[in-house]
Amino acid sequence: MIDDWLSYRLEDFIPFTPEVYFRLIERVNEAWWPVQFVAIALGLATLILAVRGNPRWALALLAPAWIFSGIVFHLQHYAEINVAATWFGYMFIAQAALLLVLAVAMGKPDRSSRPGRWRMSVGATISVAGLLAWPLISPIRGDGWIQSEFFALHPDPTALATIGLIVLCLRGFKTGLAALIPIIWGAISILTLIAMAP
Amino acid sequence: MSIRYSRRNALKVFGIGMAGAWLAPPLVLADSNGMLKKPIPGGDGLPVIGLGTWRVFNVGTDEQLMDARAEVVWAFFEHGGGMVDSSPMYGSAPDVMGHALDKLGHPDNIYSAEKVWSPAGGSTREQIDDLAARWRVDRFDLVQVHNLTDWRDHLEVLKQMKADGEIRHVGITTSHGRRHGQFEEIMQNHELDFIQLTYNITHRQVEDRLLPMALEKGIAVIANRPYDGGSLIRDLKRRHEVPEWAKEECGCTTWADFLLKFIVSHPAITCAIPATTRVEHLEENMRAGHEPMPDQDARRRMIEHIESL
Repeated sequence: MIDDWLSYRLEDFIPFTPEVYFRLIERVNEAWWPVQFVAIALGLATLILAVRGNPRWALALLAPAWIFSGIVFHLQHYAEINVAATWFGYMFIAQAALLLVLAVAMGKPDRSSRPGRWRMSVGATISVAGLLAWPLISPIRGDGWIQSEFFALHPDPTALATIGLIVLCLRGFKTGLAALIPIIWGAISILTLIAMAP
Repeated sequence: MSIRYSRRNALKVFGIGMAGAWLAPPLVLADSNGMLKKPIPGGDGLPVIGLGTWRVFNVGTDEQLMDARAEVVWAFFEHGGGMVDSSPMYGSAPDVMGHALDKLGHPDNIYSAEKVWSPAGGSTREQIDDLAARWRVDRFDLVQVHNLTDWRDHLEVLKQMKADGEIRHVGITTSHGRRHGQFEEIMQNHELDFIQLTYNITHRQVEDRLLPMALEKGIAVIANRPYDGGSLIRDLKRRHEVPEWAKEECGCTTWADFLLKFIVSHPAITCAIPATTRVEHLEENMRAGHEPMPDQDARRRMIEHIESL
């Protein structure tokens, strides 16, 4: 049995071609245009709240992005070509619930809620990368805006921006707890892209 | 086209030795468009190049891609193709086949091959009915037990369905060289029409036992992963030219010719099932099903050439 498993290669777990995956990204954009602008605005509002020391509302605003991406991308679209996407969808909804719990459990914001210098620079940089830089990758690559990935719609920029916002908003073990699912998703996504690489 | 096929014929081929079989396989015939056919149980001939659907036909409900795959299916039948192989494990592939057949009509030369998989639990008929509805066909020509999952339960039902005329043929599958011991045991002890296994120029383990046994028992053989999941032909196309001698000796003008002709020229192999998303690649694949085929010496040179790269 172990020999059976060892005989599998990474690409054997990917039941679709790159063409289909990138069409999936396009189809989500086509189906939800122009929600992308609302999503970026939501992300920037979340970032401003986090930078200004209001982590409670920042985390609360982050939760709908995970629910939306989990339902729209994973459950409605990705699950058509990958049975595992149903579990990814539930994982995203669980992350939204966790963010809400952390937000509710948080006390009122005070001076200590504002991130320190290094947290500010690291967290803000990662968040801006997820919110504003990530959608530029597709046009820069030559595939046009139609294949751009956006915060709250597509899972990769959602996870990346979230990691930045968590660095800005949380301390200690809560940082690790809240970043766990985004990091797991990041690993899954990287492995998927590696497996699809020509 | 009908070809006489029997255990006696198969034994005869086996008995005169593999060398003789390479040179002039007596059971191979070409149809009107030049595509070679090999016999299958029951007397029909099956084109040596089939169509796989793993990964490439899993496009969800994307109409643009469903139409593109329908064009591939259309080109496949236009070029004399026969077997299309799918599985419930291949996502939306059965639905895409249904879409393609809706657009094309149902070609006379289609040979539909599906699979059943775990869990059996009395669901074999239900799985097949569901798949037939998705393909929009009345019945399948071949139903195989996917990767031997719950094979005892499935095989019993499949044999009964064959006896009742609900399916034409019964088979089992494996891939990547897995569970060959058990595979051999099932071949030995059960009446099978088809087996499906991985065979290509870099994965030839099945030449030792499974292919000779298939030949001996008159079981038709489908070779999956002819391009080793695509990586084999991709690397060859990127880095190497097809050798001149292969063009002269067996008409291999492309790497698709080289790899597929190697597979289907084995006397035990009935057909190979390359998968593709593009009509031009499909046409390359289909050309490989035409004469001339490599003889045993040419096949040995092919192996040596690939190993030297």
